[in-house]
Amino acid sequence: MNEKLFQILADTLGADLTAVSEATSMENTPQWDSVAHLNLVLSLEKAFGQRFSPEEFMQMQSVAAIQRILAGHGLS
Amino acid sequence: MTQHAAFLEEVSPTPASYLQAARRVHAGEIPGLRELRVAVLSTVSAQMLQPYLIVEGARRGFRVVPWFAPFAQLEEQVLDATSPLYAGNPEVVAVFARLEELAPALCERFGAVATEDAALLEVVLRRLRALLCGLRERTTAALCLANFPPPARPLAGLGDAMLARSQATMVQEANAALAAACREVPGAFVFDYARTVVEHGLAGWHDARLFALARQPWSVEAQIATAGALVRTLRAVFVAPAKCLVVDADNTLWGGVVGEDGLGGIALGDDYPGNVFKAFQKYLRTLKDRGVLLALVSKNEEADVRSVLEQHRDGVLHEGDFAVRRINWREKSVNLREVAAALNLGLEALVFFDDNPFEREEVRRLLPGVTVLEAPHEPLAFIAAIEDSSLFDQLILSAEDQQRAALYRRHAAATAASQAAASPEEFLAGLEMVATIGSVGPETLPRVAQLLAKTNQFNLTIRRHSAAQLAQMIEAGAVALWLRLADRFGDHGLVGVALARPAAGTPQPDLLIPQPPPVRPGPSSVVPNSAWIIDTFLLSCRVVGRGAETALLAQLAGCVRARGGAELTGEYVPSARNGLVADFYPRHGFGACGENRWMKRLSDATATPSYIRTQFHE
Repeated sequence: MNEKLFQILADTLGADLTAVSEATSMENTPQWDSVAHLNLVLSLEKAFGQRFSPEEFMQMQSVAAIQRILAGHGLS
Repeated sequence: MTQHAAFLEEVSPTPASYLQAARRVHAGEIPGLRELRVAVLSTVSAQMLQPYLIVEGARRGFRVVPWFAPFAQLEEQVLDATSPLYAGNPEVVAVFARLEELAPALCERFGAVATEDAALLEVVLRRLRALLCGLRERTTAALCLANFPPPARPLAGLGDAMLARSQATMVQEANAALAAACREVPGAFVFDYARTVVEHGLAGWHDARLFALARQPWSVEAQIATAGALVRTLRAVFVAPAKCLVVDADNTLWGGVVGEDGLGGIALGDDYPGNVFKAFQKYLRTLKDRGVLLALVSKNEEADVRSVLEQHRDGVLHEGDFAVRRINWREKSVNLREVAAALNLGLEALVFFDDNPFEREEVRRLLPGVTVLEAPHEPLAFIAAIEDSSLFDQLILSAEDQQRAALYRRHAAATAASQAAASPEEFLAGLEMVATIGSVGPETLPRVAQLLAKTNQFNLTIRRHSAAQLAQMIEAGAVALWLRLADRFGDHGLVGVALARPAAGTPQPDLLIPQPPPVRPGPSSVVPNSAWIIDTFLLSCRVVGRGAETALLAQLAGCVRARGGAELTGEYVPSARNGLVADFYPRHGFGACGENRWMKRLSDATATPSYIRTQFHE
């Protein structure tokens, strides 16, 4: 699952796959701006077949937070 | 689609996939795309459309370079000539103004105070008209104004449909007014966003979460559909529709093979599968009514095909609906060449539709200029295959378009008459031609721009000025004339354009194609504006060879002289298809004054042919 998540992050942010890690977050990644953020969460929805609430949209601001919320949807 | 664009086929409908593909387009991985700078003004946050515009643009031959104004900035950008909008020198300005933001009271309280609704709507329309005019004064970009979709949730609920003046009707009225506003502004077009929404479906169009979080109204599917539809509209702004659709007969116009199944055995009628082919024939008839020429090319005995066209009681298309027919046993490529020659068109003007993959392959290999459509295996999908190819998309239908087939038939009749007359002059005199010439104005501008966009052969300079650019040139003092020609066979409509401007002092508009440097007055410099240059001179190929061009040139010379012009320079810009007019100016008494450049003093009169009666409307 991490592989899929990292690939989507890289595709959405226009970053190299190697540049994405468990530590990647909105705060430490300049390309992860507000538009990229919406695109990222929407891409995750498509890839994992989930629908996130507005609160989840706002919380998913790091790889760690995304993993936690995906786990909450039964994906880990 | 070139092989370089294969990755476009792999794009899946997710932001990540579109973003990735958009980066590859942006990096120039698909060669030969035409750059298109598109500025988007919107009352909502539209920036998320970016990757979708780029990828859908590449699918239609464009390298779209989008720019988004900060959301909700309309007048701020439009009315300030120094705004970032104009700094980007856009070729298109797309305006997405939603009723929800333009007139919240109208959307939130519709019907509560009925008398106020009309006034509120009028304010919106006035604002949009002012925006269009404001844009037009400051840019020659094509203007695309999105219209309004039906209300997602009418305030009256189910009852809306029963109201004397429903919310849905109000939106339709607003759209009609918006179209009227666009018709009044040169180079302004409606982007039929309402149709896009309806085609896709209101359910699933909006994403309430994204609107609540980011003022971005669309679902991913809606972003893709909106970008795709906008780009398709832009393609129609910049690319003229294909001129001629060449169809096969057996298993295309009807089911079965007439030579084997006989007139009574083919499928064409009111029951399945005959009704599928009957519907397809009706679709082809509407294409013809829109101005597309139909040609029939079939490997068959001519008498068999003719019997279907003339005798089958369920036939919709008849012999006269086809501008050319080639029914014989020769290769399709040979016949297609003849079709092009008979219609005086280049091969690239032809689109070929044939159910037989072998024939398609033969034409693809031997005539790469012809567009070959993939005919679906299922005849029920024929109509969609042609319509959705967007090859015949046309935003403005002129009266000429709607009678084109009849005009071409008359051309054929006149050609036949020419063979009967003793000398060409005798024939021309017998045509009883009347040339009507007038100054280009708002009513004629769309047709004039259309002629500039698509005339290839009798076109001295092939400058594709848009309607907006033409309006700007006329405003700046250019002389722009149109020509209509009628003869005893009928009225050919508006078929000629001449455009002259002072050689110095009039800036050329931003042009879509590279231009030769403007002519400078020589050392024996003349008073400003006494030297004029013919920017554009063209004639529709269906009236070539009748002397109408001479009448138009004489009138142009007269108008330029009336404006104080003393000498007129003509240029010939060679292209692949305009060799016909290489000696146009020397033949009309212009003296050489440079490579592909000729000049005439306006003190020498320009003769008009005796066999054309000319009338001028200021």
